[in-house]
Amino acid sequence: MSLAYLGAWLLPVWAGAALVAAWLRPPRTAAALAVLLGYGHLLGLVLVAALAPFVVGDAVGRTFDRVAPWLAGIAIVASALALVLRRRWPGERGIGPVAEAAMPRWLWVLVALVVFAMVWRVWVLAGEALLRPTFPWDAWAAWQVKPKAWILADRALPFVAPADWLPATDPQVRTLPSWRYPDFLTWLQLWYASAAGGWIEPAVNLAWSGALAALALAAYGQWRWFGVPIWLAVALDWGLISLPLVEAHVALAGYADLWLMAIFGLAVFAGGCWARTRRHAHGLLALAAALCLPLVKLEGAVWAGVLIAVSAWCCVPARTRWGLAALAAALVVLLAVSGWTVPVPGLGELRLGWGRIELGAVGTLDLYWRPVGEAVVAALFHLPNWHLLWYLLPVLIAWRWRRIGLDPAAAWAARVLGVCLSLLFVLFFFTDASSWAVDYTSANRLFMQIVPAAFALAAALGSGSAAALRPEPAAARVFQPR
Amino acid sequence: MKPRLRIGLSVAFAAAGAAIVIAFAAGLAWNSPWQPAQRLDWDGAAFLSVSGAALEDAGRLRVEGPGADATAVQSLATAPFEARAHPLLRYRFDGLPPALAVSFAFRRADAPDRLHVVELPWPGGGSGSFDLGAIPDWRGTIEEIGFAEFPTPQVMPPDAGFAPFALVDVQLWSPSWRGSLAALGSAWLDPWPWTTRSVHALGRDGAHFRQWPPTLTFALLAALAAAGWVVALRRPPRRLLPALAAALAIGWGLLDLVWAGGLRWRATAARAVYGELDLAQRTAAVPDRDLVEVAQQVAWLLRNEPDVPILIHARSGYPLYRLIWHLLPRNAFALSQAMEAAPAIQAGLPLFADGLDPERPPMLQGEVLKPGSVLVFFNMPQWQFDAARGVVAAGDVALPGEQLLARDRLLVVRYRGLR
Repeated sequence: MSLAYLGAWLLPVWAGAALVAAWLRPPRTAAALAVLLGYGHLLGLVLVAALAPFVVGDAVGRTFDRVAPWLAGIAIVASALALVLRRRWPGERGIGPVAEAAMPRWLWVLVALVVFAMVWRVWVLAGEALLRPTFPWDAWAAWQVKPKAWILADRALPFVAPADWLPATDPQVRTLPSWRYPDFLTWLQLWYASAAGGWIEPAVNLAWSGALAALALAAYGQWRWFGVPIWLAVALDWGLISLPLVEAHVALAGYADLWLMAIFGLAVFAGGCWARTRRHAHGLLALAAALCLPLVKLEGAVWAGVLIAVSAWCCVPARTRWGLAALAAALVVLLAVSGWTVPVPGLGELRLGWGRIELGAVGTLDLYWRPVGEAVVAALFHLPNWHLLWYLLPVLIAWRWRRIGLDPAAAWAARVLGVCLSLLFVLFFFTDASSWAVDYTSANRLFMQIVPAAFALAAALGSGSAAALRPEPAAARVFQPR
Repeated sequence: MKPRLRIGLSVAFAAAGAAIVIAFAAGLAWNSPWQPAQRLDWDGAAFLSVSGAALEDAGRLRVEGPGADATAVQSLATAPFEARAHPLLRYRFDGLPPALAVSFAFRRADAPDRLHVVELPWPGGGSGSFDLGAIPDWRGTIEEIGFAEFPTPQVMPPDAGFAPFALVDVQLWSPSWRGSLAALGSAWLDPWPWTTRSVHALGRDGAHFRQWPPTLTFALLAALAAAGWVVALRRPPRRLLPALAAALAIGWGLLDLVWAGGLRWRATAARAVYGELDLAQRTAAVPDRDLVEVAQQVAWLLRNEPDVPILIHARSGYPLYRLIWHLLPRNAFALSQAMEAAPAIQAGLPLFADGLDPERPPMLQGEVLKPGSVLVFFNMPQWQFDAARGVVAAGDVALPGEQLLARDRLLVVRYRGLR
């Protein structure tokens, strides 16, 4: 491993963690460290992708050389800022595990074993990713085409729509079916490839293992921060990274869905913490993560919209919610009747009609019932994609149902999950996307993107006593889950 | 009722319930015996090596090397037997490398020219069981059976991962509880390789398995265990849900142990193939070497024109997109998608656009493809170059051009333009 490649792993963590530390000013706890490493790694890579188009220019083969100094500079400044801010305005410690009894020794042993199992699992998956060339279909047909073409040509070849490519006079213009995908993954892969010394697929694909590890750390840190007992936080973390489909995306790296899931995870875990603790720092961290979602994949704009809408709904006093809902419904009816178009950031123009939705990036969706229940049930309950997640989650909700009404974090996570699942229900049962469910292509990947919301809900339902989790009175005036 | 009796009865009922669930999961025929009434039994040495180097070794057939297409095939012309009477296949290998997939093949007396092939679970502990009763073609009289071992398609490079192994023995059993449970064990526990579908949905192709999936079975067992616990210990009904959650969590853990075993097996297979290579060599060690060679031929042919548009036509998506991938950073795209993207033509050929398009002055009016573009036809025998007419044609569709290369399954033509 070269020093540059090691730097490509460490620099984003340092820069991202320093920025998060400056923002949260966390205490010196293991949970805070996990939050800094997890959020730092993923947000640091977003920073790489944000900086790269401006500082790399056409020398894409030197992406690491060009971006690394900027990242190091940001890391140094943010680290200094974090030290100063933390000394002057130390952040809150977070709420400790509610009524957490001292754990018996056998439980500590079990926790240690589970942690070891998680580390071993990520190690095995990383080993698998390091062994193979790029394997899964869309990786070499879509997500890795642009970075490979760029680094092999050593210039940022413009990719355009096929219809524009046909008459193009510029010989450098290229095309591919997924030409409109955002460039986050392109720059991320160029970052690792250029640090590794060229288009070396195992070195690029190892990044997916980092995403999983970062997600696990971020989840653990946030859960501990908002009061989840250590054994439950570790157990949920193990559940999250033990999901076979998630692990398949790490071992067979190259798709964008794991990154979308990871950043969605950052948003929902920080959002859950915000909902329970009312700390604006976590709320804005969740908002920042949500706003990064459209940078990864187009449907990220939808998930970001859900997160923002649900959070806004939770902030609105109960008596005005239904008025707002009626207003939104009236707007939808007006749009459908008038035929007006409205711009949707990241997805193009939206036009509603009776039984029809037109959305720029997606095309026209004709809405009518598709009988794909059997395929969806098979994908969620029969195939070994999810272990027993979709069996366990309803049981957990039924068991701790009252907690949703008492705990703002549970209410928030339940709403996020409910809206996301409702959107997927409409997508698969009422649009042509039903074919994705029937042929088992995209359906599971879309569920995977929102799986962190299921774990955020499980964490909120499983932690603490209901009475102890009531929001403080000042917050309760604004934040009313019911 | 005394507590001990109640607990004993509850445990007995839960165990009986679990046994019934497992029996349903295995697809047991209730009227079949525990042991098979009939067995057809063959030593590995009874099989003839049809492809690959093999020799007899103490009753086993030792396969020393693969044959054509990196595949080893063993066949046995059996005395005719009734398929439906012997649905349970038991097969035993020694030292089968994890990089190889295994298929079972058979020929029926009523269609001797047709070979039926079934993909088998990789024999995890050396032996495996498979219920052929789920295969619609497993009927009538069978007169030949065989096995094929080959690098897992689209996963392993064809010339890597082979190591000598032995076919030890093969049995076909009549229906029995033991056979069905053994097939259930293979279906659930024996590993399966990654496929290109693995990032979408995991598991075996369910069409060839009549067993219940382990997820559903474990969920039912968890429900039984939770209900049994509540009844046995006289817990209030409100404790059922936490008990069920705990039982499902335990089931999750057990399923993960099986999954972890599969992960280790796949890592072993990958290590056997790629372990000795450095990272750059691994990048080049792709499973489709034939397509790499085709791409290299095209790239060499166009070595002085790095940015010329290359439009590729192939029978299916895999070779099409793999060729584009291997040609990177060249200016390659799918011919069919280019046609669909052309504004006046929605699908396919011919290549005339309707009307004039003043927005496109660099191209001839009505032209969709750029003159000078290179058309690559891979494994498309219906497309032939007609030297007399100076076109490459398939049926009624003809594109003017000049042939640059025609070799094996590859035809490369430079498009001349319509005028």
